[in-house]
Amino acid sequence: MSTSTGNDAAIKGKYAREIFVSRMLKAILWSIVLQCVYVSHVLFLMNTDILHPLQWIKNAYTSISSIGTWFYLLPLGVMTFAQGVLMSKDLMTEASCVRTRFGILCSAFQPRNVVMAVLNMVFGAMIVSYYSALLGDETNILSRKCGSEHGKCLNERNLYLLSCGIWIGFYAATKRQIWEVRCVMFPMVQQLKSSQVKMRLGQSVLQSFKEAVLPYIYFCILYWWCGGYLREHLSGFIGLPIDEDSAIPVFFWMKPFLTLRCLLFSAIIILTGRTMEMLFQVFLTERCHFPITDTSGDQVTLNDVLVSPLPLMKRLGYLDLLHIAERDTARQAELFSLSLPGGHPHNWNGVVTEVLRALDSFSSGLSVAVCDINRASNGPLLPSSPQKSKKLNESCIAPTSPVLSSPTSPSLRMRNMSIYQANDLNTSVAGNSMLYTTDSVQSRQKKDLDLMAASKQQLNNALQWIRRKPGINLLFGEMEDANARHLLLHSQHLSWGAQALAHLSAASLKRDIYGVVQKDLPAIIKSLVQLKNVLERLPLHHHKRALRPGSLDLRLKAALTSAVKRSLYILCSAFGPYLTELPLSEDLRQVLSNYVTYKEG
Amino acid sequence: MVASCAGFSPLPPEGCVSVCEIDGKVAHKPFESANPAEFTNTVVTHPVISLSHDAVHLAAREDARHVFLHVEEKLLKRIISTWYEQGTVEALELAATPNDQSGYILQMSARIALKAIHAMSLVLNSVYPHFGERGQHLTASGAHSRSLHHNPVRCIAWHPHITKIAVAVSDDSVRVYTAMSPGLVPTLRSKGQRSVSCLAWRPHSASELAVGCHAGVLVWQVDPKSVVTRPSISCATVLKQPGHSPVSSVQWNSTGTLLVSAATGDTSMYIWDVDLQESIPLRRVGGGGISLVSWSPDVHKLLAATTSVTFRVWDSSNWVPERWRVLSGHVRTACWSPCSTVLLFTTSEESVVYALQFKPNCAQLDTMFYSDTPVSEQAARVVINLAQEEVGNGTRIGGTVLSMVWDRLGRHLALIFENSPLVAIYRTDLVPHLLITPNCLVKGASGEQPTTIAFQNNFDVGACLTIAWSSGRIQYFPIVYQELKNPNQSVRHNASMQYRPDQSFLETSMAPDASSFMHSFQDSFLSY
Repeated sequence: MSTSTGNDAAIKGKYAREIFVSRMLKAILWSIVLQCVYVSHVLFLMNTDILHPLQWIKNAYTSISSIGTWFYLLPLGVMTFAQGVLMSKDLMTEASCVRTRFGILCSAFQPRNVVMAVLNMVFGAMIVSYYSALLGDETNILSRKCGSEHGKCLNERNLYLLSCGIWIGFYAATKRQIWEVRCVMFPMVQQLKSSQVKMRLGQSVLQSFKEAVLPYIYFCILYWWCGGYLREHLSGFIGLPIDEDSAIPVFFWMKPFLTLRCLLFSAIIILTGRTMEMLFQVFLTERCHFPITDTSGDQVTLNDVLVSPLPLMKRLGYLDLLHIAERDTARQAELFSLSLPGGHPHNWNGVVTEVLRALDSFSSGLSVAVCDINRASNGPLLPSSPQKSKKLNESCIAPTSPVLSSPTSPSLRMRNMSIYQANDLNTSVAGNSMLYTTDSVQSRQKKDLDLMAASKQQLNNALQWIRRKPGINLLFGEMEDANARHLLLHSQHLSWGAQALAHLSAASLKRDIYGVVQKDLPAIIKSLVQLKNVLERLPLHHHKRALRPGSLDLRLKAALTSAVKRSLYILCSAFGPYLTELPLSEDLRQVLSNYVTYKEG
Repeated sequence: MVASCAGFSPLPPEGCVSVCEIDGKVAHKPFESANPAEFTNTVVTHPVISLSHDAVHLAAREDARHVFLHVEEKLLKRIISTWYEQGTVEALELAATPNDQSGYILQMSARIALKAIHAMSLVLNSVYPHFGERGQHLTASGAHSRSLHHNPVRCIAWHPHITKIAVAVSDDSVRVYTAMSPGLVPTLRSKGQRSVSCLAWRPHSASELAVGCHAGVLVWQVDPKSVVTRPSISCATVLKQPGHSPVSSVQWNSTGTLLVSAATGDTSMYIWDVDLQESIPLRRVGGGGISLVSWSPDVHKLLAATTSVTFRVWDSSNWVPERWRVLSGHVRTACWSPCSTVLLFTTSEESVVYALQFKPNCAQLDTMFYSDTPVSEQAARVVINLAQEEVGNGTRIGGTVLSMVWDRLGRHLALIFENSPLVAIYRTDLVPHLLITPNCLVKGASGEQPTTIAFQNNFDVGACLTIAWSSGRIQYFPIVYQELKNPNQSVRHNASMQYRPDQSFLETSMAPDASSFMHSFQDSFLSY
């Protein structure tokens, strides 16, 4: 029995992976198709002849339809494919939280990222040589005929263009790895894929040209600074003298055509990367309809997806769950139905258990992060301030208390608070135990410590002291809000989960004929209130007056807070008259009373 | 059967105003003593709102600069200050004006530049008809209330769940009145909130109010626990997009997750995720700027009316529109039935109400028979003929509709007209098919004209029509059914009640099953 269940899970996992892989392949293939479209457009523009429009079209058609154009595109296609495969690996797994700036730098130099950067550099060089060839240059050859004794010289103009392509490729890859948030954000509305691509493509083209300016300026500075070394070393390496005719003067950026050409190539390199990202977003975020029950034995059901190890599949599951809760009444009925034989609400139980587990786990994680932030903002505590220490500990423990409590037993909740306090202090404050313990505890510990432990403690203190030094702290010091920001960045699906549970619970008043939902109502309310409390305690804010919206994690925090409050309002609107019948603690009742009377802002 | 403007209850005698309707009987009282509390206590706790012209501090308009004394300045300085304050075109016009200080070359250059700008705008206007119009005219063309700047009240919006009403005043402020705290009236005002044209409360939220104005959309967070009467701009999220101005219509979807905004000067409408501060433009070729947007209650469809004959009904599952055209003018006002199967709309030039029938979703199959013909192959049908009729004392009713609202139970439809001082209320039945019959007329005090109307959303004992009159008075007109009353809401019998002419018919046909009708609607369409 267990073997068959394991086989089923493996088969379903395989199907889920297949859905993911097929979408990624489609995105990569469409990226190659769009490359062809870009080439066609560039050729069309390059053959511009306003006075002879027919000739213009004819020339453009001839260039586009020539075999050479598409033959040279093959290596570009292969490179695009390789880039796509590497980029898709990033999306398959959720990035782990990096708490120091040094860690961020190190993660940028992971082998995969290095390969990615190298690929991008090669890709940059290929784009430059390909488009230059289309424009009639011979950029792929670094030499040109000249009057020297060899008969050939180093063509610095081509070297300049090629190195520009390589630099832009490197810059784009590094920027993406270090500065850009790598998480798939689902669009707020599900348009057709063609409409999405059409809408985003125009924006991407403009954005690419804008983004190309800054790295090109950096390149100009770099080339002005060490272009001479490059030229001389390369000249020595390939044994060709420098051609004075093609030499780039000191004020080379004042050559308008060269600058324009470089900017065009830079924009195309950036655009190619952006196009692939955009296509990944479009294809991977397409809504999927998962069946509630597996009728044929090999279907991936909603419950399977919700527990999928692939983060993206999990999100697709949550998105589909919200769709069911808001619109799909047929599948709602299926969700509320009982199993045959047995008469158990397996469908509903599977969904509610997984969503509540995710919400509770997020709340716990976030409450620990809140503790970290509060400790950091209050600064290291001195052993002589027991009251402050106690207050801080209490403030850190409070949000997590409902996780372990039963809605009907406040005493149990208090006991659990103490359990958590012990755990929390052991795990989170281990490094700073000397600072956080009171005098009495300190003296007792000191007696117990042997020489080895004392020296270890001294070493730790020394390390702490070094870490507090300004420059070192900047690089190696832990960013206290890193954990919270990391959690928030991956919380989009939790907003959907909370709202889906609220909508389903409200709909159950009319459609749940077996009453399978109402047994879970206290647990749902408890989880939502607990999450709301933790989010409200999270000290990350941005000023609404600022014209530019805040960073993505802050906006996701606002979205999650709003979604949780909305969910509580939905529940209170639907179950307002019956809330007294639910087994809820007095604290929860008090919180809900504000929602029933619409006094919670 | 097509309803008309005939068959309403008779108008109240001269000097009297309509106060309420209790079980089909319309009550009238002299204006000075008109108080619905004499008949019903359903609106006793409602805030009393009266915004006279004196109480409204009008915002500074363009002509405010004329109050200052004229000072002789050098031409160059004047041109620069005109450019800074009013824009390039005005500065060029000043430079082109013959003047002692301006030389011939400057005048000629300015004239040539002006001609070039005019030629460009002509070309642009031929492609986008409404891009040439700016300012108040464009705001007014998209607004659904009478003459924006001559009435104290521009628009009103009831909160979807509680007795809380937002009133946009002609001084560009928005005042929020709550039944729970009548003395505390938060006033939402900011420098960027000019020419307010529309309001929308967020569903499943106590405090979020979207205000559409010339510059964009401001989503205010009015904390119900706060005692601050002038919240600062830090309580608002400003939603702007280049070219998306002036905003003429905003609406939340019924789940409160998305906000849609439309601007008469923009061919795109924007769907906003306010919390994430992200937007997606939705655009199709043709039609010009968008004047009106309206979500269906089940969030499956979204109406987008343009400033031309075209309007679209978007399917929100894949965001593909169905394109429709009216015969002339543009769709001015529209409302959805609670079950989202019927869309009623009126145009700016025809005196009729059209209805579009949509196929219901599976869960809403309360009716047994529906045509399999796709909606796009059907035509909108006329359901009310609003040809003008005299209803006594020389008062006429009918004509082109200024605003139309349908109550949340789908039982009453209220209309105000461009050229009539009366509010017409029709009774509507949706089961088994749409049936509209005249109900009653609401008359204000002498000289008063209805500016804008709205139904209260949380009125459980019938419907409460709220009318903003041109005098600044806001009237609650409750339509109460005793069968639906709450234990704490009662009806007081009064001798001044008048029976409608068709009351005998109503007494026999409607009254016995009115409660069952209403309950069935509540069960069918009102979820949470």
